[in-house]
Amino acid sequence: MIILVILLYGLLALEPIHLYRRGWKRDFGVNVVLYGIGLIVVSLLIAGVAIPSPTLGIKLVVDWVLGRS
Amino acid sequence: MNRISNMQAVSVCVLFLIGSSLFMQNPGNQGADDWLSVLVAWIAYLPLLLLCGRLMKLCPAQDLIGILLKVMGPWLGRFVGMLYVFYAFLIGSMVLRNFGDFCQAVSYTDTPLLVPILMLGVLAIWAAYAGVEVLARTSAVLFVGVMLMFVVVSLLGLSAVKPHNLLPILEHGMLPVLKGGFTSFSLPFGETILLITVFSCISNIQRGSRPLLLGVGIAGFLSVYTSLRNTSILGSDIASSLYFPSYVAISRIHVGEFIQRIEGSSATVFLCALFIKVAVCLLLVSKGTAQIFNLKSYRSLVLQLGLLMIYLSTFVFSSLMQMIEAAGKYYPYFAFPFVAILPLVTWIVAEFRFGRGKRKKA
Repeated sequence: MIILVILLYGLLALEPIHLYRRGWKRDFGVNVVLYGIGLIVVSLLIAGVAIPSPTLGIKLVVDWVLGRS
Repeated sequence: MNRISNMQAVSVCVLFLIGSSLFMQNPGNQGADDWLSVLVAWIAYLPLLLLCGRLMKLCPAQDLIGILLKVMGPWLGRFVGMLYVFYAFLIGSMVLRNFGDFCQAVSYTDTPLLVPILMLGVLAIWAAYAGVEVLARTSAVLFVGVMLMFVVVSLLGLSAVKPHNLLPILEHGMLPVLKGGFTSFSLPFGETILLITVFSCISNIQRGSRPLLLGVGIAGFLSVYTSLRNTSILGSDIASSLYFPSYVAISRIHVGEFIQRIEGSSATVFLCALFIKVAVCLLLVSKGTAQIFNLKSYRSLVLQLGLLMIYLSTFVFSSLMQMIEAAGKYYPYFAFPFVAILPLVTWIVAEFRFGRGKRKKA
């Protein structure tokens, strides 16, 4: 699994490099940020760290708005 | 500029809307009156549907984020656009999770959840990368197969139908039906707002609302019929206690000794519809992000955002039970501003800025 992820993210790194060479600086920036987020999330998932789900946040907000306990 | 025909747009709309509602339990399930809740939601959504059509006429050839940027201005439009991108991203990952849970529950019990999700996710990434034209043509082909399967299963299922299971109608009054209708209003009918991204590519944009009406009409009919069929075959108690009532209802169909176990082939309908739904969500997320950040092409983002969608789907819910609970108790309230309030506000502002009065003055 770890080897697969390293291979995947190695290949994915080609996309921002390609964008940078084209001179699309803004596209490059957004791509690098998404690449970084993806790498962090997949590392946490492999490490078995429990990532809080956004639905938990939605539940809290909806409960607060509706005044549910 | 990508162009799609009216029929292709209708097929995308139908497959998108029946995506998860055809097989999953209706989150606002009201027992024997479940079909009435869906019917109420379908009728209640009609004014908002006309509103979507009007928005497309006021801002022709603009997708959802484009309309927001044009109507609300660059900064507020960007902020609301980001909210819609998050909404579509969440729906995409929830739908992927539906598919993963479905596979795990009915057939691949020992396979890791990520495997079926990855299969569908990669396919959706490919479709979104290819663009809206390819997606529309694919859905037009899949639509024929889906409708054929639906008609065949419906005809074969007539032998298993027990109409007395639908009685008594309105046993607990109208209020539970309206509550269930509110859930069905947000999920799936309200999600139609996201389809503006696809409908903005119709060749004749003046007719934009007609295919939208036809698509939601067909999807609504299929949803009501599916709910009626499930309740009448299984009975309201069993139908409301299952996560995938359609799958079980179809498995009850036996015609003689040779036509049986057709639920596997009907699961392909679920797969086709989910594929289109995830691909449309991913397309909106990628195009929306590209527009918000003023990028040159959305295609460079499809793979990264698609992978993030896949990752999110693995932890968006902890279990199938939590998913049904969230879809019934929290999701409708969360989705309501996106499906009703924001489109209404956008339409009012659009009428003031680009409506009839402004056109006459110009």
